[in-house]
Amino acid sequence: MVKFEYFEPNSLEEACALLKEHGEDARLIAGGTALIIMMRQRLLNPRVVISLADIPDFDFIRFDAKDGLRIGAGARHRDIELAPVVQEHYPLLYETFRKVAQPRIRNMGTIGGNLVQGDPLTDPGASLIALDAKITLRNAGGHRVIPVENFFVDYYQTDLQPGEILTEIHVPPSLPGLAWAHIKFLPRSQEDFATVGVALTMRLNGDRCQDIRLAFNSVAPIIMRAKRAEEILRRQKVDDDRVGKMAEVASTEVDPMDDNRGSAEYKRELVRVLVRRAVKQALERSATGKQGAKQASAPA
Amino acid sequence: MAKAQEFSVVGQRVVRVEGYDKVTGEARYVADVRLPGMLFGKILRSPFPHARILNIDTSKAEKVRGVKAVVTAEDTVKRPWGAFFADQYPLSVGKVRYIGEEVAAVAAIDPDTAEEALDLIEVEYEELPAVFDAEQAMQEGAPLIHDNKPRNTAMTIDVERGDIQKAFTESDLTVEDTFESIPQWHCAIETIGSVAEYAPSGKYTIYMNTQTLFMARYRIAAALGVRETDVRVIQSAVGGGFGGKSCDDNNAMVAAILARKTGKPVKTINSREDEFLAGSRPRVNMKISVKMGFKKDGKIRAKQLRIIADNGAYSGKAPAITGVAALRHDTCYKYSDVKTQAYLVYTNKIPTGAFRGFGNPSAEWAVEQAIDQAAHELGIDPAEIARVNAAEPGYVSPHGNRVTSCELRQCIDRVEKMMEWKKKRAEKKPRIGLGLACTVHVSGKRHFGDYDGGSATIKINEDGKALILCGEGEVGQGAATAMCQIAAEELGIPMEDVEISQADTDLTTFCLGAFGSRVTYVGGNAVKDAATKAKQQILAMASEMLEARADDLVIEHGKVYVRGAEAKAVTVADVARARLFRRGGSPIVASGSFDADSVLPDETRYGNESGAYNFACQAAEVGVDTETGQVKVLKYVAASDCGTVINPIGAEGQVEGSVAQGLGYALIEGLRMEEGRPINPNFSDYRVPSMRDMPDLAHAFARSYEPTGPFGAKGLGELGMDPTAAVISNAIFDAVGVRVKTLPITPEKVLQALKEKVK
Ligand SMILES: Cc1cc2nc3c(=O)[nH]c(=O)nc-3n(C[C@H](O)[C@H](O)[C@H](O)COP(=O)(O)OP(=O)(O)OC[C@H]3O[C@@H](n4cnc5c(N)ncnc54)[C@H](O)[C@@H]3O)c2cc1C
Repeated sequence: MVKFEYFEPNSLEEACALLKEHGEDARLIAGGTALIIMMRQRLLNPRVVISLADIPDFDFIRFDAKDGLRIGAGARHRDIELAPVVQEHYPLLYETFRKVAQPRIRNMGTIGGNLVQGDPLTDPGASLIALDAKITLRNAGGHRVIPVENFFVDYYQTDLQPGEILTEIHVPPSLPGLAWAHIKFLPRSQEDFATVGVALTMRLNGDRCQDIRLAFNSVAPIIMRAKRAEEILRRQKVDDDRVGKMAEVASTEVDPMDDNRGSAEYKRELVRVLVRRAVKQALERSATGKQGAKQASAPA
Repeated sequence: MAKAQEFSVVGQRVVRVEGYDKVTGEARYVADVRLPGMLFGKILRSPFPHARILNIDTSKAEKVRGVKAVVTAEDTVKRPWGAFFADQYPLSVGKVRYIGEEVAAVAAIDPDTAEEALDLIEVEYEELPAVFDAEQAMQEGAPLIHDNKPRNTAMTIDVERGDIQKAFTESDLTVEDTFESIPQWHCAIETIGSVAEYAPSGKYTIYMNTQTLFMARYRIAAALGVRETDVRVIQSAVGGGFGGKSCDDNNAMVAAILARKTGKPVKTINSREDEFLAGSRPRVNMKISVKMGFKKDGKIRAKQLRIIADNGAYSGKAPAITGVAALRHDTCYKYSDVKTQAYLVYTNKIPTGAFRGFGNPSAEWAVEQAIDQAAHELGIDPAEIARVNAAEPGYVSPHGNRVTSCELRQCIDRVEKMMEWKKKRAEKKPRIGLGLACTVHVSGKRHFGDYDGGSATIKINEDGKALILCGEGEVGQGAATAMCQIAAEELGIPMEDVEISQADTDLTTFCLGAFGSRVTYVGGNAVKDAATKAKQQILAMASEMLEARADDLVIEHGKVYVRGAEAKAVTVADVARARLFRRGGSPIVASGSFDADSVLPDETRYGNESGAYNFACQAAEVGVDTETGQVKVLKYVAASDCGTVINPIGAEGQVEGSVAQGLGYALIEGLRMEEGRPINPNFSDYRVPSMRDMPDLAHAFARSYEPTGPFGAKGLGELGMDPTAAVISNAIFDAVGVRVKTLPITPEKVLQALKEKVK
């Protein structure tokens, strides 16, 4: 690791000021689970490292029935997984965060670091997209709010601009009766990154799908939303035919690559299978009215 | 047959002797060794699979503040070394043969400075054509990797026993297929590391986490061009070896070279990336063509193997491993006519080497599938075909291996029972299948010269406590505990009264170390012999003290008394003191040794290779998701015949760990390379099974007693992963009727095979 200067600012303002001052030479560090690996491999050699650890109330998790869920960027995966409000109102998030890596990583890694890393193999992004979440990005001069789905730009690239800090994730109020599913396909090890990750939410009215959001990780350079696939089902009757068609479209919409988890072609095939399974799970959940976390299903 | 119940310490579930140190963090691993003035070494590795080194300029690196030395081959004696063939150098001489090879090294005041200096070493290479596939490397005209190895062939085996042609003609069924195995990494939790010191008198002291101290000393001395005694190897606590720490790599050599040049202690610890590239040598991958002939009743009539084994750039232990793959299985079942041809071939890749199983997991991956195939084609239960062919006591293999104890049939019975095999077979469900396979392993093997022995010394301190001095070492497998149990049992003292020394080549006598499932059997016998002799000294002294004949005395729970007169006992401590504190006194101390009753196989590879053979049968129940190809192991059972189980906790751990590695080998692992460059050399891309991935696992140990073993014990450490890949593949076949013939059996390959089947 190349030597660097280390700061522990006590406020966001101070952190923004330090970022501004050191510009390109500086890197923020939260849990360090991603950054340290890159520094040790000397893929990143920042001269200045600015810790977010001492920023007060940076890891909050607050729920309000009208406003929804707000999560501080410094919240750890494990905090989110175990928060009662998440388990109660956002079972999809609970289901997602409990599947992130293993407790060692979940106890260190933060949601902010996870999103900013822009690693397409990671899980939270797809579920946040499926729930239409937004994030707040702040710099020395002010802040902006953007949807999570617009944040991922390219492989390991996000829309985070120099000088910006991700401060908050906002998930809209939970809709009663929202059908959902999360599948993390893990054929190698329960502790692996997903070969394919699927997050799905559907608003149903009888057998019709009022609205749908379908997102994937591990099958494109970015964590992505499958808008064309969604259109097949949106405002339509949910039947095997349409679901099959949606799965088919999704498999062409994704853009996977060959890697140690399988060939691109295989991942497309999995998308076809897993989309159908996700819809099935979501429908089953909504039919039984069991949407709570306890009924969350095991990984595919 | 003696039973474990007759013993008081052997067979008990005892706590690890080094357990307290390990769970409290007290244990001193090599990374914990800190010596005054110690420097840190880092190694510059070849970026090319095959290249000539034209020039190395170290001047810029030497100028970095904090750098104390930069070394290249010019700082060495340029003498090649190797376990069987001397074909590698500590630092490349003239050319590099794989990506990762050690070209130069730096010692500096801290690791970061050393790394910084590595970037400044300028090496001028001339790239040479390289070859990555063993079959291509054997072709005329392929790039030559070692000048003295035509067709890149390191070794050839060609053995025929009986009349193979006739045997096939007399077979009712012939099955034939080709299977490929993979280089599997050990992924021990601790990477290889060394701390080397050099005294101006000429002596090197090296703390290292090796499994084989004396073999390490021998190889390091050869590489440095000094005598064995000039190298002292002290074993630190070892965080897992699995064959990968048996000193076929250059880590310790480089530390020693740097220590000599700087006159300071130097620590070289492999990063995980170093470890993947040039640390523990991954399992030798093989392409195995198997042809087997069977009679209608399932009896094996003929077996023919053709093996192409991928050596990588240097040989290490691959010659012996290839030998095991070629011949060992012929001791598992009753074979008569066999033929085997094997070629060990150099390629421009990471050298392959020793890994738990040592050739067996490759050969059995093929052979046990061929047998399973035959069972299906003959309409015989796979458990039955194993049973009719199983070796038994007194069996002599076509290659001269003599089986003493053997409870393979019992293992098959236990597996059937634990798995509810018959019931499940009768109620076969779609996409769920059962598979089974058997294995044999040695308990030590004679291959480094005509010796497969061990030795140990036991001294009894004045307080009655025994200290075992033994150089076999502890690598986390529980050998030290087993030895203490054996000594306690033989001496008649409580387990708490036995300690075992750190292994240290200056202080302990010659031992071959931990490989070949040998330590409990060979080392245990040596310890037992030392204990017997120490006991004689105790009894002789006690007989004076108790005024009784030594023959009438017993030692139990640390007390010596005349049989039937327990009240009038003296303690072992009393005896030790009495013998020492008197005119002409002497301590109680005895050395023991053991050399297995095996022979060094002749040039046709005939000869009983081991003192005892251990056997196992394993079975799996799997479910296959036919849409995704995913295989889920629903239940796994393992029955092992390791003779007397010395420490059940340790034995169960060995089986569980072996099965975990076996499942990794079967389903998810494997070094992947492109043009000689590993593409998964990290734990994100290379997964091993985690605790959460383990299936429901049941194990059993056969009632068994090995007459030549210490209290009836024989080897166990490798047995558990030998058959696992075949077990899984056989179960998949039973479930969905397809066989994936290359490891690992990924869901993608299963899906592909299912599609081809439909076609
Ligand atoms: C072994 C292992 C297994 C893993 N498995 C999974 C898995 O199964 N699923 C999964 O989803 N993820 C997985 N991950 C990834 C893990 O979730 C991320 O590494 C983690 O969330 C990153 O958070 P961090 O706080 O440690 O980030 P850091 O390493 O501290 O930072 C990462 C990057 O984000 C920047 N950054 C951090 N916080 C902010 C902020 N508030 N504003 C702006 N920039 C910021 C840093 O500058 C840096 O560039 C795994 C990681 C490891 C090491």
